[in-house]
Amino acid sequence: MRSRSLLIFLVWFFLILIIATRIDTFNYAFMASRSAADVPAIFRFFGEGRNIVSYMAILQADRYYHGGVGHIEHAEGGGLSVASRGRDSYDEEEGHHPEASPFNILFRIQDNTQVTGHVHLKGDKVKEIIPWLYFSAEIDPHNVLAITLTGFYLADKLDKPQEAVAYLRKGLLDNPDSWEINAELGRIYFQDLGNYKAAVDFLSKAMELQKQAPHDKFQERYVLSFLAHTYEALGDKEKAVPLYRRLSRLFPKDHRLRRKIDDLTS
Amino acid sequence: MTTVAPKPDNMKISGGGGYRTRLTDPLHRPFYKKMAPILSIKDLHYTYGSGKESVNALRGIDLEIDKGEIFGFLGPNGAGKTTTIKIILGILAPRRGRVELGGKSPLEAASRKRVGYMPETADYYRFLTPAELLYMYGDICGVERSVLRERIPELFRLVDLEGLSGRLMRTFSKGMMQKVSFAQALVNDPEFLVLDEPTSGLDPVSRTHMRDTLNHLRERGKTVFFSSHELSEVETISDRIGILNRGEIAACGPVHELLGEKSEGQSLENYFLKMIGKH
Amino acid sequence: MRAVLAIIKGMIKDLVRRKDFYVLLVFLLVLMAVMASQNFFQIKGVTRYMRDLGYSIVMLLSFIIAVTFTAKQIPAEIEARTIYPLLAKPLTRYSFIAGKYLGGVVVSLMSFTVFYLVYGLFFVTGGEAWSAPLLAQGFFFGVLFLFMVCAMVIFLSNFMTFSANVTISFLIYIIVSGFSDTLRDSILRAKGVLSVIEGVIFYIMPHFDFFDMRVRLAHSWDPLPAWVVAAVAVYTLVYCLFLLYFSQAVFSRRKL
Repeated sequence: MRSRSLLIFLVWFFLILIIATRIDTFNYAFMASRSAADVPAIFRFFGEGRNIVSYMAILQADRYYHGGVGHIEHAEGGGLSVASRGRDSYDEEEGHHPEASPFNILFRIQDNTQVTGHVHLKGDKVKEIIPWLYFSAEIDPHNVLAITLTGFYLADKLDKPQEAVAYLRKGLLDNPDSWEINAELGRIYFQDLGNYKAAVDFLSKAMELQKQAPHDKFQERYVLSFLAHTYEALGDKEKAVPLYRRLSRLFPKDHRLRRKIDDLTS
Repeated sequence: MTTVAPKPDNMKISGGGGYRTRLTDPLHRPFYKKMAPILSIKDLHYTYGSGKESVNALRGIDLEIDKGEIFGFLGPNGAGKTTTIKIILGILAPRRGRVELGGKSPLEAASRKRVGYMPETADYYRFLTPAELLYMYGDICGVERSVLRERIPELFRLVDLEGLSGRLMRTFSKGMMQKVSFAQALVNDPEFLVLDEPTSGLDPVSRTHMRDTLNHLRERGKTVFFSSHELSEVETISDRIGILNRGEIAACGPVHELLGEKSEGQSLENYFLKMIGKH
Repeated sequence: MRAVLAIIKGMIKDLVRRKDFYVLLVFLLVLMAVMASQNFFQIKGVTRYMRDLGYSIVMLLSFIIAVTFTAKQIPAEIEARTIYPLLAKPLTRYSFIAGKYLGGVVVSLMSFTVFYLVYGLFFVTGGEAWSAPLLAQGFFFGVLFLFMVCAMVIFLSNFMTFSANVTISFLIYIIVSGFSDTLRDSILRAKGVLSVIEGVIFYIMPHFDFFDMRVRLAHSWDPLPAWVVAAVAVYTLVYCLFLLYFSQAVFSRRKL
């Protein structure tokens, strides 16, 4: 590689980057939301490939959560989901190979050079996944999953609820119709900040938006249960009980809900 | 042990190396005993490719080069000169025949210890200085560092590159590269020098200097085997010449014999054209 | 040996006097500095992504130097016709190949060492605990990796031009690093002739994945046991010797 060729390549690369982003800004200035036009140039350069890169960044975050070992977690509805975070069942696709002959030296070397343990980051170490979630949302501001995961980890695991709220609000500007972001904001206001009024506002919005968006019953439960708990915390049983009843209809075998309804109505 | 008759005081030196002729002529050198040739080629064949696309580059060459002579190797383009040179240097292996350089096969690395080669063109490493190049080649030839420290400045004086030995070669012209090429051929003080178009790219002053240097080397007992298209130069400095045409030796011998006895005093150019069938 | 050393010295001067290495070094420094200066929500001590990406960049840049320097050696000598005065000296073709190979190794190791020092500096000052044996293993595996890359490139340079060699080398690196696991699983699940073919491919291909210490370094896993390090070193040695043997065998028969 001659240094001149490298220099010419670098100059052309940045020229194209600048030109592409100027054209992109020109288009966005007319039509798109303010924050989309503010996406850093390097990320706008990727174009439609941003979605793929953004999703890969989330996978990398997941990998980091598992100590650098690839791991895929499937929610029942398909895809990663904040609402399904509490589930324990998952498929381990990496870390285990079919059995090889002990005399196959290359296979043995490969087995022993690769990292195949299974760990979860704990405590403060969780912060290591933040860069990838941050990059994922920066690359694709419409990646709701990246935004909500970032908010969750900031608020719950890293004890930064104010930063989480600010970040989610910024994400809401790009995704005003996202029930997920509204729900996450409501949850943080309820659980971490104790601001029940704000929690009600966001969770109610999330409930309305969820009706128009594809979702499963577990995701519906997520929104309804937090809204119900918030009303309950505000002392507004008249609004809390119908929500618990709706939940009970969704999950008729959940006896705790029936007990809750009985407690509130007695 | 060879003894050479001393040059008589009244010996006339004429063009074409008359002095040399008298020395190599057994009638005039009563003390002369024939030494083993430094280069011996017998029935050399070489073919490029195989099957229908094969090309017979050399078709049975026989040649002997004596120690201490300057041999001019001539031929039209495509005659097989470069192939012959590559075989002499061990870069190619002969298909058939026998080549001995100093009594050894040129394919053995040891046989090239006292051989110097100047290629027709070579774009030497642009990121090195001529001094570094010569030190590198000297190390490869196994020359002691202390010897190189003395010899390399002398070589640069010889080729008139004294003030430029520390400059990177990427700034050098063709003529300067040619001088570097000649210097590197001499770095191991070779007994046998193979030069391919040694004066190509040189200005007239440098050409004259090159001819004088070759004569000087001969006086020191070095053997020079050179290929050139400059027939006037070949005629001036060569003891013997060989004309290669279509892979075969068309003529070989001292210039004056080839021109005087066999061709009634015609020019080398006319003789050359006649030998290659173009006249 | 002196001839081989002379060739190596020439290649070192090439590295030092060209701008490629310095451009890549500045590129690395800028990237590492940018990563180190990133502020994610005022969270302190976020280092793993920097260790991860930093190591990948160091390996990639060293790979670039190794491939581009080594791949041009034989074709450039032939094109510039400097191979003729070189082989006219008392230099065997084997010594020529050895000199070019070791020269490529030394050049890429010099670059890798500087890159790794920069990486190491950011690694130890990042905040998270670090392990000296692990860092040392990362360096050693990088060295082995470059030995193997240079051997592969020297072998390929007997058959292809500089640009083809660089392209194929990059492709092999990407494919092996990305699909070695998949191929292995396929071999173990396949039957019959397909299993044999895939097994042969698995053994022939250069296992660059063995040298990948990225996950261990970035996520502070334990260092590898000594026997694994030794096994990888032996594998590298055997593989390189095979490639060099075939390289010199092909080059010896080559009509120049």
